[in-house]
Amino acid sequence: MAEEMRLHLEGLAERHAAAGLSPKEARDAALRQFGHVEGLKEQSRDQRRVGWVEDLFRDFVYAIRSLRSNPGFTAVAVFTLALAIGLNSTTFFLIDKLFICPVAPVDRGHVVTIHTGRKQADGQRSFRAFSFAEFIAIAQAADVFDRVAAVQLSTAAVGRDEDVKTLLVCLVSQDYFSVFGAVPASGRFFRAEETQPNAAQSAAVLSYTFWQKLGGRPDVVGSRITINRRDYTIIGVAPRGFSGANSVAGPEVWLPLGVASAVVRGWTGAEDLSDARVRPLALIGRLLPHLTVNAANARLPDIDARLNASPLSDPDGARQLLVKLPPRLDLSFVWPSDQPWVDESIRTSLGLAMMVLLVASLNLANLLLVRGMTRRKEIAVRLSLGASRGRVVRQLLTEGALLALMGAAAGGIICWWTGQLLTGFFQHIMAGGATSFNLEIEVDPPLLIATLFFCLTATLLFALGPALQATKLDLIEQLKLQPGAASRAGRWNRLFSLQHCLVMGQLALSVMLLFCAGLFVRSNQDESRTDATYLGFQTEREFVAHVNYELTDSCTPDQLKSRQRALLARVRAITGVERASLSSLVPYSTFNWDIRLVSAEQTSTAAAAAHRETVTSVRSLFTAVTDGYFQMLEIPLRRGRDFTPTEAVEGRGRPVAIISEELARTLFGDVDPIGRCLQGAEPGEREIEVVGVVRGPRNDGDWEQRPWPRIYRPLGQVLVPDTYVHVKIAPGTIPGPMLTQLGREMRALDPRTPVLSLQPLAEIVASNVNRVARFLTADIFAISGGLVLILALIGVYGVKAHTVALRTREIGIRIALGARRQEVLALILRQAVVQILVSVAVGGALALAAGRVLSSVLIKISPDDPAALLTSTGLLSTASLVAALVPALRAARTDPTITLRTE
Amino acid sequence: MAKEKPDLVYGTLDMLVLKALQHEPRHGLGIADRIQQISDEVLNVEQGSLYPALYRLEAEGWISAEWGSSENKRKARYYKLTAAGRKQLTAEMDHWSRVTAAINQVLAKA
Repeated sequence: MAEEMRLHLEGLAERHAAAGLSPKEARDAALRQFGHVEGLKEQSRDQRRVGWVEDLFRDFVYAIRSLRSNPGFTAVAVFTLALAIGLNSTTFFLIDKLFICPVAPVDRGHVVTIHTGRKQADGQRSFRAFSFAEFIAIAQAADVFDRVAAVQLSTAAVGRDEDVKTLLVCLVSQDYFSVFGAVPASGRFFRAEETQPNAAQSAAVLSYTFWQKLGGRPDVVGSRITINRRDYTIIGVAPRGFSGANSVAGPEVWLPLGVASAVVRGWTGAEDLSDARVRPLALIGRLLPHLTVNAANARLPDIDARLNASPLSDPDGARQLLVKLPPRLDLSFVWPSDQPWVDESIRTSLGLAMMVLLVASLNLANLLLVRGMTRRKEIAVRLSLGASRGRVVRQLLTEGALLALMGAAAGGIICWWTGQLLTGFFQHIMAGGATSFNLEIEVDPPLLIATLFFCLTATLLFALGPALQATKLDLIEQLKLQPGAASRAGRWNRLFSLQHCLVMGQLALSVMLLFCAGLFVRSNQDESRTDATYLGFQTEREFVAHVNYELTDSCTPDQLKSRQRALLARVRAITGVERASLSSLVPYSTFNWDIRLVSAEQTSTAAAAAHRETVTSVRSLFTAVTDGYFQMLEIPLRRGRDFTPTEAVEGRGRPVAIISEELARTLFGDVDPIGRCLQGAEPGEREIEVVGVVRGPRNDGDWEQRPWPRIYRPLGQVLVPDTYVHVKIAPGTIPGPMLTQLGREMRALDPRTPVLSLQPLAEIVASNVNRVARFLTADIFAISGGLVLILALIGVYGVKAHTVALRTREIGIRIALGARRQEVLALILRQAVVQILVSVAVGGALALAAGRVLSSVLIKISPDDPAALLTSTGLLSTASLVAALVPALRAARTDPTITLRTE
Repeated sequence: MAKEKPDLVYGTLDMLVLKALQHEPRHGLGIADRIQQISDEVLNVEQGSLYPALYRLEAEGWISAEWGSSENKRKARYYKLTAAGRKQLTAEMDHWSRVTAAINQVLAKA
């Protein structure tokens, strides 16, 4: 177009020249004849329909240039957006993966766990596992379930010779994987004939992570693996990230129910699933499509009636079935888990994340407002040159959109990086454990796009306001105006201008958020404690070795006891070992052994009166130990006595037990339990005398305030081939060489019994699955809190820097007129201090209100926790003050001659 | 020759341009010359103001343009009337005659 016009002008000039004018006069005449070239060009451009695409592109390029020439502003804005988008995406992702996203596609029916409960005299319901026959009967209830699977968890020694490790294995029926709709990553899953009781077909399915650990070879299907000293053929590999219902961890190997007798040993030897009295199974199933959990529960009484009338009925009394959504963080689901803290945590985490986004948006709004004001003059010039208002607004919005895009890109990177960091960290912690860690924290595109969309909308909205305001100018006024003189009269006006209100709002919100985050961090802080006062047992200088006598050739009970006796004596004889003890389970391990206990008196009275169902059974954690165990772990003995070596190691004498205070209180009330008897809840159990009471050590399941009841029996009096050797080394001994010697001695004593592991007790505590999950939750809050602080600081600094810059001229004048630097400083800071005080006061009030709302979720922390309140208000005030101080100092140090000269 | 008041002319510029292109393609300078010529030098528009009109007409699809070389071997952009343009010209001319007839009628009555 320009060329066309040029040619036209040349043609006209030629004619004039031909008519006799000089070249210059000819050109002038041509121009006069033509008209105002630039204006015409602009008009012509406007005529073109295709204009808006070109305009957009040009706006884009201009936006890039303008952002590049303002690196400070751009960096801050992009950083704010990136932090908000990136870290919030990670938070949302974690919460979704841990708690919310359904275990399997819901449209094909809900996945639920099935429980059988019986009402007790005290109003509580007690639950137990199912027998195989019951499982079959329930699986046939076609009006409720699409399919049902049975599950039994166990530990097993996987591998051979030196590579043996104790891992979590899961024995399942053939429908297990199809309940979740899982498709094998390789090979196949179990068939019906493999999962019948005592089928003894040696098939195994590996978890994806375990397959990777073994080398990830494509020909793994068909190769063999040794489990509990038997060879199994690997028939398939589970899909990536599959761990059943658990969000975080799962078994490394799945085996069919048919091999239960080879893998799982009960108290009295191998377990026979075809026996109707053997009840080890937990049930999980899929409801019919479109059937809700409540609707399913409504149909269950029919099945109850059928079961209670059939030969499968329980002699202890009528039972009721119950279905629930599966727990996301428990491995076992015989008892329905009520985790109210989960729902609350989800809500609060989401609320917190939303708030962070809000704060970030406020920050951004402020930045854009400030920028709009700085560019008033430039916009005025553009408007006067002929740009339409819409055009200028469009350009400002394009700039905002560009910022949002850049922020989103940076946010995506942060999200990815955080994910890698967290995954690596947790995999490292769990590497020594017996489960596979299946939580893959990765960038989730839909989530990222949703957050981007939110930020884009917010940015455009915030850019629109200033854009409209900036273009609604009185041009002459604006062109004349000095930036500093834009401040209107009145101190209150200045104090509560839109900008300052935004900042104060941001500060108040930040105080509230920091407080909430602080509350949560403190509430969850305890979970990371590993000191003896919190755990209830000592982990310093404690080490645990694991051997399993089942893995040697079969031995009689007497042989087992004598081997254990020899082991204990040998270990105690090693120099450097202060104390040693054997136990059936490590405290705070991921695995637990629980049994139901009843008071012997109550049982006999009830039996006499034929009221068995009124007997209260207490679910307790069971551990078999040798003498000296409590002393070694520093678990205080409250009453009575410890086991004698005769009882503990040789197993002679009457059946005795030591119980925890919680169990004593539940079974016997306030009466002294020493001398009283209890027994297992199953009919035909022997009576056991209580000889001591200890303060029960903490267990990982102690979310709620009440600790688990615990019972300890002498190792010699029960048959436990799976043995943990606890060793406490003397102070000053170097662990390394001593442990090597320990391993050597143990292997020398019994060459056929492999030492499955040898690690510090503290490490075992750290790799507990539930603890890890809680860590994740606490981390979310800590991250959000830190984020909020950073954003608030950025906001304050940005606004203060700008307002001070606006007043540069005024400050220069004051200094020139004789004001001292301190007076200038005081002048600027006075405003800042007032604003901070107001914000913090409002924020504190908001924080206390929020604390009330959250009080139901907090454990052991009062909602008015003074420490958290003080920290959050103090931290924010100090930080804001510093952020305001920096520009103020800079201003006070300005040379008035320079500032008065510049504009 | 005196220039007539330009306002009225600009309102009808589109129609004049289309008419100028009725018989053969012309370039910008050529269109200005043609209008001047067939109005007997009465209509003497500011030459540059043709261009917004030309681009508008092109955007509407009533004329099409391509580069060519002019009489004195110079590069120039030639505009041509399209079929839609011809229809538009006829429509505008009808509209014009109706409007002027009405105005004349008003002015004729005292």
